[in-house]
Amino acid sequence: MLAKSRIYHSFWSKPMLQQRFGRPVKQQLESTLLFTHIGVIAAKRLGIEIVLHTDDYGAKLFAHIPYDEVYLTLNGHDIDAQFWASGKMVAFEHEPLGSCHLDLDAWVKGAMCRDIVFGGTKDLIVQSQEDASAVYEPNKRFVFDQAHVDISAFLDVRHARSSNEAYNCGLVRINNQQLKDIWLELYWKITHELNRKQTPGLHDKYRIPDLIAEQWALFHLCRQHGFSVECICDGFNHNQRARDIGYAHLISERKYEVDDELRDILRRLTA
Amino acid sequence: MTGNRICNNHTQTLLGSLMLMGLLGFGGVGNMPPPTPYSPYFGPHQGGEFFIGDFRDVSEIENLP
Repeated sequence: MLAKSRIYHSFWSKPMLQQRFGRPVKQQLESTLLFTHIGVIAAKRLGIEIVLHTDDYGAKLFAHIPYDEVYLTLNGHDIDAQFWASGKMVAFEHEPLGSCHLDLDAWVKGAMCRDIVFGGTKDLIVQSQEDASAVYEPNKRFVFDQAHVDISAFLDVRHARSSNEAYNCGLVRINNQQLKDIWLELYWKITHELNRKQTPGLHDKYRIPDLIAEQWALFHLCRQHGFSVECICDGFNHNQRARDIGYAHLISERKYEVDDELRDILRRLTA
Repeated sequence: MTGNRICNNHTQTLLGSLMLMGLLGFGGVGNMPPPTPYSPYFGPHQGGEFFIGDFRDVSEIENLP
């Protein structure tokens, strides 16, 4: 277990450079540089070690950002770019237990948030629970009904199949080696099988089976296997909770439309 | 830990960011994606908000070294 608070970012260039969702690559990269830079500054000012797992392209792209360490862990990582969270999972394999993955568009910017995340002793510390049928239902149908991925060795699918509950993994910290191992195994089981089968529809616009392999699977593993969980933004109004503790996640596509505001924040922080 | 440690000396200035963007040729905003019902990742999150928390408020870290 880690003695020091440690956040790791991951950036795998392959999906970013394939113009996901029709958004211009340059625009995505420009915004990504801005919110990533702010997130790194925020973590360091709170005394948190922050490192990056990436590939050669990412190392050059983020060279000006003051990470404590940069690891070329994702050089050679190759799977269908549809599985964009796989870079996070490869990084996860290389990080010590207790290290915290933070999405590039999520910030720990308050001492209270830092203390909740790194003071927590539950098996899983995670951003929040969500229940979004518009996202999970069509992707579950794709994974289980069209691609016929069998995860019965991991979960009682009869109970999980009807649920659209999941954990939003903008922030994930795992303290239990068994949970880490089984989540990784299930993630790779789903994604490698989908990658091998290349079922028609895999590349449909707005198809994101990764959410089933990553977020939906994590929720149901914890529920069915009895792992303890703390959501840092739990509660009826988790947006207000995020404000109260000092956490932010630019979750939607709208994050690519606020560059001027991000530039202003970065200017203030680096003045 | 595995992986190759490659750097930890950085230029921590906004100028560095902007220069890099300039070198990479970043320009203006491109076309918006089409509207889609696939929230929250393409539309508003639970509660109808596009962001979780308030990214505009960095007051707690603004005056820290």
